[in-house]
Amino acid sequence: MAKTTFVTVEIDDSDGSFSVDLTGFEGKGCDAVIKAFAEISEPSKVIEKPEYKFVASQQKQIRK
Amino acid sequence: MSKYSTNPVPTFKDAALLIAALQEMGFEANEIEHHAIAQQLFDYHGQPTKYTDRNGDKANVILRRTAVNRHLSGGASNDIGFKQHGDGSFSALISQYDSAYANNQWIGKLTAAYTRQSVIQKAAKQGFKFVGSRQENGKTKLQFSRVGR
Repeated sequence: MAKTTFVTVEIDDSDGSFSVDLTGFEGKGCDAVIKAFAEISEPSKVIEKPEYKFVASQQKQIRK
Repeated sequence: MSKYSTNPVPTFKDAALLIAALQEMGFEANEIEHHAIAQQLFDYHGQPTKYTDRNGDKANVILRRTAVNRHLSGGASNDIGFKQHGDGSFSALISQYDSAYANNQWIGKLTAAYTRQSVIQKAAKQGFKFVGSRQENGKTKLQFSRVGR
């Protein structure tokens, strides 16, 4: 069964700064989503999905 | 006083999104001019101005003074322009008179409107469907969903 992924973007109405919440993101491809939003301007905060943080930290350890 | 000053707005890179943001700020589509080649701005007397450029203050996206009067100042406004540079970014050309209304706070709100339009466009390109938005504590939350992948 296909999973549904959710992304929430919070924009400050006073200056346009924004953060991206990927906690509802299922499956692969969140890198591409972050990259697409970063083309607007650098997000003030990116809340990554838990498994993404886990994989990213493992990759850092392997690089060491 | 109609002296213009230039305010770089590096977030603005796309004229169509800027126009959509200006519409979100209350301007009608027919009140927003878009020119591939920058056009002359005029002061409240209808005279062409030369404050930022000796050949004339010119912009690519223009709100003429009648529209600025209608939506912002209600007085003797000058044209407001957005000039696009070679790198695609825009600068706002706002007269000293109009900077009382089209001030940093107004630019901030316009930037937020531009960001909302940009986020919706980028999300759609990534295959996301806009689910809805809600406002709380001075922030707008936009939610998107995508099935599969």
